[in-house]
Amino acid sequence: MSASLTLAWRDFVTTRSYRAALVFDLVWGVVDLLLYFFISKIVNLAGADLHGAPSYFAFAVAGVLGSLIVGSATAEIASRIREEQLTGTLELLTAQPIHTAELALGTAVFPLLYAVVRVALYFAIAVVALDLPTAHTDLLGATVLLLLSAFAFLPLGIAAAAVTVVLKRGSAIVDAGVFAMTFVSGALFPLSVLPGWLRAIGRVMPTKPAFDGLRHALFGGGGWGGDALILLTIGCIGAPLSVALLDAGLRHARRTGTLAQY
Amino acid sequence: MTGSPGVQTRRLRRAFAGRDVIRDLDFVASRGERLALAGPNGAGKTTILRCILGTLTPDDGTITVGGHAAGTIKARRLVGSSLAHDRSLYLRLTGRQNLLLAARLRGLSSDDAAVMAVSALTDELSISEFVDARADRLSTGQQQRVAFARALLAAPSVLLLDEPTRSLDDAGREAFWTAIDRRPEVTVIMATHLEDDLHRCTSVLRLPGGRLV
Repeated sequence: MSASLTLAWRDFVTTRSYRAALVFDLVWGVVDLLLYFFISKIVNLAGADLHGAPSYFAFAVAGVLGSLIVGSATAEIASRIREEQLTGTLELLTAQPIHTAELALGTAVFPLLYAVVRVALYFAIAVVALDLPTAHTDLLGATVLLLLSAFAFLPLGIAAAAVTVVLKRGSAIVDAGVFAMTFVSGALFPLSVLPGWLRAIGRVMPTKPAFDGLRHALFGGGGWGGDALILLTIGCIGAPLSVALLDAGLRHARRTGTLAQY
Repeated sequence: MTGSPGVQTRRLRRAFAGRDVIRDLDFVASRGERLALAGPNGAGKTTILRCILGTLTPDDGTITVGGHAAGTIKARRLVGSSLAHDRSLYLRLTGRQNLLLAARLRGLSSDDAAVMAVSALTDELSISEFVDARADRLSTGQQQRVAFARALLAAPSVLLLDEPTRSLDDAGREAFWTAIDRRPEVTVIMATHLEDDLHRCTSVLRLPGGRLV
């Protein structure tokens, strides 16, 4: 655990050193919220199932916040591991007396904490400046849902990192995959407005309980227990499998001599 | 001081793209021994170091470090290394932050222990005046000295060094050898081209084109 926190500290110091990027990152999230705020003024989603959200803007806010967590737990991890491989520090890390699980967790801790901070900030801005209704908000439930979403999707990020270590060019595929998964599972558009075949795919996406549950917690005042249970189950099954996969990916890289390779 | 095996290889073989870089390599580097790996570019010096470190798996043969199979957590605990020194520092971190990171990863988990170990090393190696600069602003020689300090953290019993004095000035080279001399119990295996390094080692393994002479 202490090795994981040490790696999180490294990521914090590194991120802090890119001040302009940090500010841009935060501002971009606000721009994203504004975009959906104005879109909600012109769209008419009468009859669409918004999973308890009182408006399209409220629906999209939950999607934006959930996507931040899902993206940080998945694509971000793979891209960080690839960066380590490119700069040569992955070889340094794998020569240290730390376990693969500590390496995986350590790579994930800071991006996830950073995502949680941004989620809290954007939610506050949406409430204060953009009149997001909170009459039925279950904050504890929303927090639990976001944490369980991180737990559920982290294994996917670790598995993606394993693939990236082996293929070296996996980041773009992972980015596209995560975007497609969040899109079809109703992150930003209700499933009911998608074509039938896409709806069918969306219903079985693991991201669906994350978004549905978050909407229930933010706007329905409850009813997120079933979604939370699904996310917990995904995480419990995925965690050991993904660490084993990353271990196999690193073993492959040791065999082929590609732990540090452009 | 020598005697018990620090590092031992048996019938070590490693090929790249179908060409044997190392073949049937047997050697023992005892505790306190300073073994230089010498040979032309491509002879396999760095490959041997990476195999001992555990970041490259041999195609054949075995390697033990302090009696443990190379690459296992127990073996990794015993090894300090400075390979590809100019590529393995976190460039957005200061030299000191790089050292603290390594100290904590190597088991100095309390903040005080890590800070004290790093301070002691920066004083010993005379790198205090630049160790608080960000790594990307250090010269190649300064980066190499920080990387060497990192290798010495947590008192390793085996040091693996890839051309450790290549970019150092006379003072840096002297500080390097003084630090090695202060650790007579440590097994040192270094890849080098420099005559001065070869003379200061207790044994030399010459690798012309991958064959042990």
